[in-house]
Amino acid sequence: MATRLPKSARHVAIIPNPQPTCKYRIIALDPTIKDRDGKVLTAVIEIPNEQLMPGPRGYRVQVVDYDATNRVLYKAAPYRGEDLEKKVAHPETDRAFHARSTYAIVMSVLARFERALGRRVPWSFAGHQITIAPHAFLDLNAFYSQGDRAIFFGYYPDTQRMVFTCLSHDVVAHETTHALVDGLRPGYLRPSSADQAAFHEAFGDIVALLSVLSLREIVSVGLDRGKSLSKELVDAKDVTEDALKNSLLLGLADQVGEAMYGVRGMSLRRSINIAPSPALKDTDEYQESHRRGELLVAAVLGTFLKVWLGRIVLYGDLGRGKVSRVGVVDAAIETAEHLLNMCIRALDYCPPTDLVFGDFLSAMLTADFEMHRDDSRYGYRKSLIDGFKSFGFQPAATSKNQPEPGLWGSPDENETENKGLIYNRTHFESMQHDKDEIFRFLWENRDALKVETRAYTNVGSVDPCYRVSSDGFVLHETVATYSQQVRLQASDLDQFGLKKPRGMPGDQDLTIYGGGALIFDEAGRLKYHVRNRIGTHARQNQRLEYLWKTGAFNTKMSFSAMHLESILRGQPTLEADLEDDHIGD
Amino acid sequence: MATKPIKVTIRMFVVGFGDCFLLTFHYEPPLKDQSILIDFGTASGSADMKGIAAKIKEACGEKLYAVVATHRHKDHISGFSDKSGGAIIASCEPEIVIQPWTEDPKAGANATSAALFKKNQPAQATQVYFASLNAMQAYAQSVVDRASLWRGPGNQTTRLEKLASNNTKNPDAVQNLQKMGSKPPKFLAYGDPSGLENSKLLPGVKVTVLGPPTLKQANLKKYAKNSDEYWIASKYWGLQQRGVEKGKFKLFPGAAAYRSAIPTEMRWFVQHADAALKKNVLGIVRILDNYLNNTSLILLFEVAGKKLLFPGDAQLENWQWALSQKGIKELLHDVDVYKVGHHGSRNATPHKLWDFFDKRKGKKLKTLMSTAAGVYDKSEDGKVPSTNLVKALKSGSKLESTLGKKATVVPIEVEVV
Repeated sequence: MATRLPKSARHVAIIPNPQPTCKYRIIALDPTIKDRDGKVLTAVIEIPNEQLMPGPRGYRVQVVDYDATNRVLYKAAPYRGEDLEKKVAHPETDRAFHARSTYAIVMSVLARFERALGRRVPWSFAGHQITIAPHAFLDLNAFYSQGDRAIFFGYYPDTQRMVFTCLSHDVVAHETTHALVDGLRPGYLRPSSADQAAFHEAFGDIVALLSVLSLREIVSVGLDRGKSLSKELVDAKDVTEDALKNSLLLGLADQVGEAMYGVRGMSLRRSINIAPSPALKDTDEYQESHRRGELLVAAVLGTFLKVWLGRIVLYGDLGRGKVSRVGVVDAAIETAEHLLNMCIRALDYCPPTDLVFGDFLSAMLTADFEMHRDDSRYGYRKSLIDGFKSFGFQPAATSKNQPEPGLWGSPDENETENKGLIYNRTHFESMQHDKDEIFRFLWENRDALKVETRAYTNVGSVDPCYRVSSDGFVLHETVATYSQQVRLQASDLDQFGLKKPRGMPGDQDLTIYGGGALIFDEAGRLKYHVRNRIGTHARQNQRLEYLWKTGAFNTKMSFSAMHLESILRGQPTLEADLEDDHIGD
Repeated sequence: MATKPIKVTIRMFVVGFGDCFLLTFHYEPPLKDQSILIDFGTASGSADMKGIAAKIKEACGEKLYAVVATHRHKDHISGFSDKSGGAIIASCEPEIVIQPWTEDPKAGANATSAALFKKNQPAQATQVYFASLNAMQAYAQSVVDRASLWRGPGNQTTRLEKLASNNTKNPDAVQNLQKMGSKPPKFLAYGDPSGLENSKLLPGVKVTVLGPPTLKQANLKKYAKNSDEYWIASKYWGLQQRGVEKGKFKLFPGAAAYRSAIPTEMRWFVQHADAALKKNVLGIVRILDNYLNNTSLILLFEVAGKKLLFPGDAQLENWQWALSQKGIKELLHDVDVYKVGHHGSRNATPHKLWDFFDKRKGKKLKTLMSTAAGVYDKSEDGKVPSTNLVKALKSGSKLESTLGKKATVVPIEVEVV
């Protein structure tokens, strides 16, 4: 029987602003950063438009202003279109502005991911709307929690004022990135290696920083701290390598460490000042996950700076030591956006388990190569390889038959995978969205693709992606991921050709993981198979040694704990920081 | 005349989650037997601490040679407080009370959080260290004060509450310990003379102090190098203290809020936010709990050819200094009795230590574990005692444990010499 719709639903909604995007005013960096008039610097960004409810509550992001410390649920401010872009008198204490700014930054990061990946991107939990609590509790922490389908932002009284973590652009972008990456690559929270332990935080920092660097207002003010009154020109001395490294954008914040803003900003931005050396990654200091993450951030930021400086030179000195402000800002924005796209797209080309930085580099190079064959203009890929190399990281892909170094090889290149990939019993159309169809393809081709048949296998995702490449055509790929796992005891490891770490008891319970990302081209042919096999001995043995050394067999990191560790890593201990070393697990 | 004990008895009192060990060194007359009490605390409410104190008094012949309080945690010192067995223990007139250097008021143990808000200078490291410790205890106290908010149906005490309460200042126990001994209390660090050795009263007993280390020169250099991180971490605790001491305040005075009924679409989230806050606080309390554990005094007794190791709740960070020093590995390889650190947590008996104990072979090693389940995390990694550690203790030693035993005034007695 047909249901009669209620009267209110029978009308087509009148959308006040029918445009696909709308503009929102957000916090530019954090409240310590002021504009020329000494007011808190804000910026206007464009995000997807939608029919919002008060909160704001939208189709992917909803703000619920609940304070768990004081057990107060605030009522949402009325939703008025004219408020969105408006400058507010006191951004630091304006609760409704906090809600709007946080909502908009989360939406903008989500939109960046969707634009870069060419598809809708889910949160890491089952469901569509993430809840944002901008004043969640009294604490110097902010974190994403999958189980709560939420991002919680703490607040804290500092000497002069109340510190709101939701008013740190970096923090909001960083947490949103966790919520997205955890959905795309859930295996990265598992203990595996120093690189993987470092990746989540480093990637969150990279996205946060590059997001900020792609905002016009912030870059313009950040260049010379707004001291020049010229809207057109900037002093050449303010855009040298040293000046930029120490600028508001890349250097330490003025009031570093003053409170949470500084705490976050410091670790985020000081990476650029790490003097590159291939030896660093092997030192004890850089085995600690947050420290190690700084190397990844430094490699990417170094690339940003190199490309940006190269482009500034192209604009040239306009005389009297002045450079075009617009040109410098445009160059920063384009460079940041390009690198941000590379980083986000790389996730599709990364193995779903046991990631090392070399994998991420090859994934970035390959993702960019697919979109922009010609890298000669600004040399992003070459600069990235150089940047990573300066910290001792090489691309994981070592194929010599590729048009450029560091790209993943196609399956055809590998002799064992060359012939006999069976396509005719799977259906191209279904392969673009059906997990069972992908599994059938895997199972049919288990020998050629070296899929471990003794493992539990699960196809985690299948997504068709549409990206516009530099030649103006739509690049259509289908990206699928599968994971494999085997539960066993240490004494069973030799059945898989793996070595039991010295001292590990034979009855130690273990899980070993494998899996791959399958990239199909527009004709449904397998283009890349980026994987870590259960039977890849060197990597599995390294992982087992790492787990045995760190004792982290059963742990899955929580973002809350990760951030706490980040703040407390310099905690004054009675002795030097040490590797973890526990009996039995 | 005999110059060494003819027998050594260790009494492990069943205090629930806590430690209480009475070491008695028996001599041939005319020498008198001497007893040293190592810790007297519980985090469980069920132990009859006054009854146990009376039993200790009886067992030591109403005279203690010394009292050792390995660190400030309630599960190690609560018995010394006024309302517990403090007066009874004091009536045994210990010659001396031994504690870690971190308890020494002269070393700066009373530093306030003001020190945390000055940009770090290496010279201030000690002050900042103590200020952090004090801020942590203030934070723990605030959690205890707020704990009733998080209790579930039946008003049951939560793990968070128990753990936080273990980390509060325990001021009267601390004060009693300071005035309990006939001689002034000693506050010890790695390598210090223990103050226990005495050729007349306690002949034939050598005691080496293996921890905690002081803030060594090497560390100060490290702090200077990473001063921003050091300072931020310290400031974090200062801010936490400031936050909790600010008490109740209105974040947005006058803002419209739901007074009673929460809209149905928000109830699920509100419950989850409450739980998330609790979990976050638990994470912080765990960190400060570990921090205090690492102030534990580690003592090695050598008597009549046997070695008895009492590490309090020391974890790897505390152990590491001793283990990096020349001759210490050799000193430890033939340990005969090991008091399992931190009630069997996985952090307190690191491989680096356990693997030294040669007497695991043939189970010649004796291990003593005073513990109770359910106080710490239930997860496999955080559980105390750790299942895997208990397995290793059972396969590599003769394990005496209070696990699963009801609190009683009757101790488990072990003869070790």
